[in-house]
Amino acid sequence: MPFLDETGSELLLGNEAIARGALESNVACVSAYPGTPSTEVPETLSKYAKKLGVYVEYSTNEKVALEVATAFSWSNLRAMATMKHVGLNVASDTFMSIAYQGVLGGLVILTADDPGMWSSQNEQDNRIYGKFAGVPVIVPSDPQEAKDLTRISFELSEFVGTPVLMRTTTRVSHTRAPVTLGPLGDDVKLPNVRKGVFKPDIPKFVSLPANAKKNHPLVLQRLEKALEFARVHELNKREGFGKVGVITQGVEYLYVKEAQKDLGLDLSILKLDMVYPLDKEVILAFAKTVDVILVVEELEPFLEEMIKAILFDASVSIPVHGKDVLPRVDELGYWKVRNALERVAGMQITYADISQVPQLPPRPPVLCPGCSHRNVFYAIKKLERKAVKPSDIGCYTLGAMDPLKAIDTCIAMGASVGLGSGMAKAQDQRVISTIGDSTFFHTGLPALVNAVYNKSKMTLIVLDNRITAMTGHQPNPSTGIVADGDKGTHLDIETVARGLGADYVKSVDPYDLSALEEAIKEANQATVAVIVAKQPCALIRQRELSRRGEHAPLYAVDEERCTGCRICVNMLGCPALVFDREMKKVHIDEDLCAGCSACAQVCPYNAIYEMDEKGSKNFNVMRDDVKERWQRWYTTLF
Amino acid sequence: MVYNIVLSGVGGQGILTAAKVLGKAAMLNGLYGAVGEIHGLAQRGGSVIGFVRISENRIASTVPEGTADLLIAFEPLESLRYINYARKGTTFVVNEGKIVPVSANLGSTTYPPIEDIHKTLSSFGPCYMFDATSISKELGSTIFVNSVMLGKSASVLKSILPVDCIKDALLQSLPRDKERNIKAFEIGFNA
Ligand SMILES: Cc1ncc(C[n+]2csc(CCOP(=O)(O)OP(=O)(O)O)c2C)c(N)n1
Ligand code: SF4
Ligand code: SF4
Repeated sequence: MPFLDETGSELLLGNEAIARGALESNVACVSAYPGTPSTEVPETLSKYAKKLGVYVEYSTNEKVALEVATAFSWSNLRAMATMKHVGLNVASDTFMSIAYQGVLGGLVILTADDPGMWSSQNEQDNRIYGKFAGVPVIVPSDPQEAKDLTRISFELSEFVGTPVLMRTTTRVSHTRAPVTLGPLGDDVKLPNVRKGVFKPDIPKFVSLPANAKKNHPLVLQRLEKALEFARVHELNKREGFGKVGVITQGVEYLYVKEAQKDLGLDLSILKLDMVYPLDKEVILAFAKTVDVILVVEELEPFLEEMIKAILFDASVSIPVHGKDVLPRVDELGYWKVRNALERVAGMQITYADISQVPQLPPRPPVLCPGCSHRNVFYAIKKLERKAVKPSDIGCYTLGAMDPLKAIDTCIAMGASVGLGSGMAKAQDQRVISTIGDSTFFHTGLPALVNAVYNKSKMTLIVLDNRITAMTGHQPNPSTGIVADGDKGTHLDIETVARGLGADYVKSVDPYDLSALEEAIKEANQATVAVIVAKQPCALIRQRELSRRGEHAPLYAVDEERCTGCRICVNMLGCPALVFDREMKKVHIDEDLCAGCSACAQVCPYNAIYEMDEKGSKNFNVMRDDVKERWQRWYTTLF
Repeated sequence: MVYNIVLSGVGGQGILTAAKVLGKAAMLNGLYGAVGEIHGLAQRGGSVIGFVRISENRIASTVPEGTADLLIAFEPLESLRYINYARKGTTFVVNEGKIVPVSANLGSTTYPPIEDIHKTLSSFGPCYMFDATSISKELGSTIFVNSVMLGKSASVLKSILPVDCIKDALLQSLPRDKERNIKAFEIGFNA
């Protein structure tokens, strides 16, 4: 297993390198809630969790993940919590407090930011969280540094006694490059999960106001100590002797280097691996040797503002450029950085010769063939066009796309339920919220309690595909499997909803369209109704069936019967349904069909049939044996 | 030396795996291979792009626009979608096997004729278009498209990476069905 080798080098993803760095740091626990671009850290470790002495956990949300990691740290063991940038919003309450309380075993929090919003609802710059909480922020620029700085972060955390925020971006987490491997931690190599000892320390661990008052000055002292650590470990590196100075960090550093080479520019570069706290002496010493400074950083003028304040206080008046020549939105890249350098160095600007992309049919991501989310959106759209339809974050957010267009909102995880609860009070239309199983457990629960408590009339449909699909299929409480592959406790959402006091709770198979429609109608009689749509993620199911040597039935269109009305295509938008413009008929792409039969149920001319083993046409698609098969898929897949 | 490769296609076609193989091949050849991936929505049938940069020193993984040396498209439409990465002289390796996007099925847009795509690409540089999907299907399934495309790309990359390095990297990346994948690779190489 090359990943566990202790010498040589491997082509590793930035996130794999972080996982590797944690193992080389002798980490005892890695806890996570998945989120792109952070997920491969726990995913990689979960594959080895049984062999190694490290506890890997998928927690129900980021706040819980951070608390689990904190427990290890406070028991004197090293721990890491990983999340995407918006995950730190969820964890922030705990994060802000433990910054005061400090750590015992090294505690590193990975925030994987997403400048450019490749897979996120915003591009918030989480370096600011470090400053907000008063914890050091470490920023790697490529996979090798991601590994090396993970080790450094653990050491820094213990040396100072503070949590450390390690901040990557999509371009670091999702770059694959050669990484030199080092020895694994001694305890990691033993297969047992380690146990530490928790020793009570009320002034430290109980944040009563009187204790917190004493802890706040400690935060500032720790930042001073972090500067000392950074000096010893040379976390801020200077190179070159040019009169144009560049202060940069992260992947931006690589853009600077590439542009510098192509331009043949003489630069002085200060590369910061620790971007908070900033070392005044280092900045002033650098400023003394240059005539002008360009700060190259993605998103917020985080360094730029601190640098300007440092220079102002020291009455150093050289020009400092940053967001005047570089955009504050979106990620940076070679051309943006090159053009900024050209401007600041007084060179002619090279306009890149970039060809225009012609108008093309768009290809946005779509729900997979056979995805049961599609059926729920079909039913909602058919029955309740006028309803207010808050939804949430997951694969099902794609329900906003043509032709389904069956959701009205998506804010942040869990918000479908809170917003729905409010919509019930704010306006008069029926409220139908949709949420995935992982998201339901993440932050849907407290909002459902709120709806029950306040008697908000709403229907909540939980799209229970028994997996966290959007982020690449991690297990959650509905899967009932834990991170290392062992059985955990399966939480049945129907039981949970009943326990929380919803007055109508029903499980339905979303593959059975009429049962689904029936439940949506019935639910309108209740105050708080919860419908649990149970059908496993089709992608996972197809993979699992093929692993078992089985396959779902295929459906096909009878050309004689098909009138070319396109109702199937227009109501479902399944990628397997292909409309032939010349023939004016629909056909089903065999390579894509996942055997859900939704189109067969929707077709008003009964033109779609199931091909049975012998190749004959079975137009009766809603037989009992078919329904039993679906049921079996739900109960036996995991 | 920096050699820039852009790979594009439809989520699920194995673009990221192919990118990883090329990155690994560079490493096996003693070079720095930086592979840029975008995850998350890749599995959902959306348009996908990946980068491979081969260089002597460490380098960012994103290919700057207008600098691709080679564009490998697993689907014809997806070659045009990333034409902003091409320059005069870019080489194209394109699979002719179409995957019609939902928008074109709904009738809101139309799929451009393959000949037009070929003409546009050829105005930049050499363009190798062939039906990797059919070749793959003849071997039993569309899952070999990946290896067929890698084979053809290996023939273009000869002066940068020895074929054997790419083949070795491919072999290392395959959990099963090594034989048929290598067959696919070879057919692609000679296509
Ligand atoms: C606070 C926060 N954490 C993590 C994510 C990343 N993320 C997006 S969707 C999703 C979960 C989707 O799972 P589920 O609700 O079960 O829906 P599915 O994709 O399976 O349909 C996650 C974790 C996020 N957007 N926000
Ligand atoms: S991955 Fe699963 S949940 Fe997501 S769209 Fe595909 S079938 Fe649906
Ligand atoms: S709904 Fe039935 S008749 Fe209409 S296009 Fe689809 S298969 Fe043909």
